[in-house]
Amino acid sequence: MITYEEYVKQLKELDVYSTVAFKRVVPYVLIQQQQNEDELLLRLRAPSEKLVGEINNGSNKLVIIDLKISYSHVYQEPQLSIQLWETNGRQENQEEEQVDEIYLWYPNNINETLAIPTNLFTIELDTVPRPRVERTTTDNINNSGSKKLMSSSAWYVVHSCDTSEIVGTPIQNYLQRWASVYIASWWGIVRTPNNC
Amino acid sequence: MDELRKLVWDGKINVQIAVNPQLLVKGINEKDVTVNLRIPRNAYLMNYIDEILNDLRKFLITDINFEELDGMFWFAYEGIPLYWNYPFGALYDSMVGIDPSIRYDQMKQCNSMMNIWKLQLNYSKEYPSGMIPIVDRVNQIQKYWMHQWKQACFVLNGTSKQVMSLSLVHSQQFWKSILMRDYITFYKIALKIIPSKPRHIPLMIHLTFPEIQIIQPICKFEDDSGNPQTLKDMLMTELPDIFSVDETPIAKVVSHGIEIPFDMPLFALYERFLSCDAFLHLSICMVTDDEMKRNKV
Repeated sequence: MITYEEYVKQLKELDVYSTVAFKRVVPYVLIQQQQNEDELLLRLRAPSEKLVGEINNGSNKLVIIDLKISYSHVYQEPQLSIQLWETNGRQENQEEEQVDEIYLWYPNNINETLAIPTNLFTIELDTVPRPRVERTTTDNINNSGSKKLMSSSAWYVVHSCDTSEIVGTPIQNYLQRWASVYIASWWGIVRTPNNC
Repeated sequence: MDELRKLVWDGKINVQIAVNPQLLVKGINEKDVTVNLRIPRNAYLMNYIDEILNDLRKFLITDINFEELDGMFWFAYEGIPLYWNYPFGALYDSMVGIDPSIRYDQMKQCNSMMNIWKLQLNYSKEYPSGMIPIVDRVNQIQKYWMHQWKQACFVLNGTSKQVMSLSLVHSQQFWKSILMRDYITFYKIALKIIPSKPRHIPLMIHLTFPEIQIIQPICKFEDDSGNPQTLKDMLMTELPDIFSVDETPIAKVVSHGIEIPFDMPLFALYERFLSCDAFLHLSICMVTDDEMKRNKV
């Protein structure tokens, strides 16, 4: 477990471009955006090695993978959420530049789609809550733990329930170790005909 | 306690499903096509989608491919999409927002002795904002429900082990107890997960004003003095604009269609009113002007 304050501190210090855990991810980063102090969005170009076999959704094609790092106040752990964007090849003309239209894609088996081993962690579709802004106590599981769910799009959320057992308890570099397991461990898996 | 739990478990809502006219075969009058059923409060609405579609299939336009859906069926109440991932009773209490004490009067005004919730079935390729797409039919609902139990288990015990260590047989029995309305099996397994003295209480507060939102506070079992936390304590912390010490409350708290007394200890409430997803769902319902006046007198 990691306290909210420590998580925010480590997220602020996290440099994606120089952290070993992100070494394989970096070449695909299109946008890195700190949405607020406890949320980091990485918009990634879908790697070609993940685009063989059934990864292509019929005539459509996976083009973008969004990874969001946030904090779960319930589990007191970092939380990874994933959204996939596809294009159907149609283009729209934006001021004389041809731009592919992209759409959110919700495949029924995200593990298969991204070649994430099923024994690594559990992923379910969910709406990602935004934590409350008000903080009236330093106890990070009390009032500040309240989550507000409002209309937001659905994400594939990686369950955080046994994170400490997987990542280990030392608090130093906790977020970096977490990223090694929850992002780097599957990103590098190349899809082959056997695991398609 | 057992008797009250059983009454809560047996709660059902009369529902009438109409169909978005755009989905109907040409020439069919939308008023002629409705499905009436009673849905348990402690269940997910989407668990009944196959039953509803079986009744409606012959009236629906043929270009909906039921085997390989590239869109999603969803329900709406007065044009507002209903999020299937909350228990049906919680959706009703929050969306209808009817104060239980005036429900009977409203029914009388409508010359009806039966309370019926009228919903509309819709289908679209794009999902309404905030709706979790159904991509794996009933399997997804079961997995989502199990995820809710893991989360609630963590809130209660500080670990999800009690749920993770359920055998496959018990997990299946647990889920089937909801589908088959088997109260005994549900509580037999649920009580293996719920401790007698929890760390925190899994809770969801449904608000429909000024906008639809769901608050998921993490409430301690006891306050700092060791006294059990009451509903009032929690409300004054989480919703101070609505519930304050000095002011007459402008809203009531409803769970499973029942108005809850403010001084009730939160965990006692949880033990009696928890929903099938292991959370205690509380809907905030505005007090009418007439009742406000009566309370002030």
